Amino acid sequence: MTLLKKRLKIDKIVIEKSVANQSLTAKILKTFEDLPVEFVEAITLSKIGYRPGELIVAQRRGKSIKNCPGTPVYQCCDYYVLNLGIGCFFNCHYCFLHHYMNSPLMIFANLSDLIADVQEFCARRPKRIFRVGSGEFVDSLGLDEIVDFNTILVPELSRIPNLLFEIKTKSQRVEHLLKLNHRGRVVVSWSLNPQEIIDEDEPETDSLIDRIKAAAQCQKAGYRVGFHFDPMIHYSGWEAGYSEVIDMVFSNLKADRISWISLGALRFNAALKPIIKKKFPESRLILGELVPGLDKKLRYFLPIRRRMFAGAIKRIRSHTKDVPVYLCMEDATLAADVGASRLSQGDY
Amino acid sequence: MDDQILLAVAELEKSGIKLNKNHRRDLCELISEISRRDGIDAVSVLNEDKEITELLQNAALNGPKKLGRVKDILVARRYPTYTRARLTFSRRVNNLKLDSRIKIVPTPFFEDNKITVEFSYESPDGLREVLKSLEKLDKIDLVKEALEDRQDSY
Repeated sequence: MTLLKKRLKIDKIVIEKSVANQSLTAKILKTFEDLPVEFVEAITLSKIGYRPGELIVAQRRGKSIKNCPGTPVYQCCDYYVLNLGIGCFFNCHYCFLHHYMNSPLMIFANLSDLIADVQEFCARRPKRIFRVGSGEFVDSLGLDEIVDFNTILVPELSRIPNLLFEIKTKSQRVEHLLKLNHRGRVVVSWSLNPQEIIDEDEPETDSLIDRIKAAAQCQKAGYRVGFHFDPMIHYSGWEAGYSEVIDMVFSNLKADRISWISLGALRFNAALKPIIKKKFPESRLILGELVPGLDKKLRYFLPIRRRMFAGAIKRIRSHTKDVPVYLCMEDATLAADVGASRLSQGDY
Repeated sequence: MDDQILLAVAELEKSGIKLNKNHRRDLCELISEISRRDGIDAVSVLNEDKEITELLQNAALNGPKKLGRVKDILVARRYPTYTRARLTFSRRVNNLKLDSRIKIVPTPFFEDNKITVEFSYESPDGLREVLKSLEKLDKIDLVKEALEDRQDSY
């Protein structure tokens, strides 16, 4: 716990009064009992005025489940995002959260409202299966040491018959998941990169082998697992690097219990480039052949992406023909070219 | 800003190239990124490029022309795969010897397979000539050919 507290660099807790009595709030207060606490009437994001050292415990208002913020001009994998908070201490160099570098870490404490939102959302179309993940604005497991979101979410959300709940992470910390009742409706997935890329651009995350060992533990506990090679980085030795990771996955995990594998190449808003340069001057991420895409985001020039995706899919297919492999934020033509799947209801 | 990059830009100015704020920013970025990617110092990015040194010494070229060419060379070094695709595309279009009233424009950075065709004409005969010339396009997939690049930049 000390290590996590150190990594979070929290020096003050700010609590919105409306969530003061939530059990998550109590957990946070217990964890940070030595820190000063301020109670405020309302957290107003538009006039936020808070600083990075503060942990904001807020009430989530409005919809907590939304369409994945994919790009209209590229193919969407029909994914939904459950927003548990905003902020991540893993600090990966390419992360869009650096746009909000002066924002504090925020956690939504009214978890029962969030769960009710998901229940209501899925009940509206009972014949459809929804994929909903919590790893967009936070690492899905990253905050469990403080608030243990998943000990509450997994048993509750897995009661929803037409939901597949995805826990997306770069963490190895899965012990608390192993004993939970997931009813086969929870996919725990890991974002993977070759270890040299983890060392260079994800240095505060858990190692590749630890992620894969954690995935094996989850699979043993009956969970379905998934993998996201996203963002794939084009670097000297990328082909051997990604092949090695793919081989590691299939030598440690059972292919028939892998729900999906996604591939996505590095992409980011142009405004992130100067932030990466300033915050991580040693990073080589920005030195790739990145050009503006149809959505204006910088991404590798198309033939480079095609080569990377085709190479990865060929390697995956040498291990299994059955696991769906889809592309994230790419167009249908490229997906067809490289032999990627169009993830559909029947696949999961 | 790295001293080496400032020195490199000063080299350009010594050769008669005048740089405004935007040119300076663009060139500094290109030089700095090539230098970091290739593991050479910024001055060497210019000095070790024979094409650049020759054109900087070319008294027949004025400052703006030198600037344009230096920038083209640096862009080609910074974005080699894209530059090859762009040149292949232009070459293929030129080989078609289309009517001069026709302009072929791919999607920026060839991000999809679309091609925009622009043309003008002044008479029904002119239109027939343009349409006849456009028929050459149905025999070639310009974008696909431009992107058939088997060379990895690593």
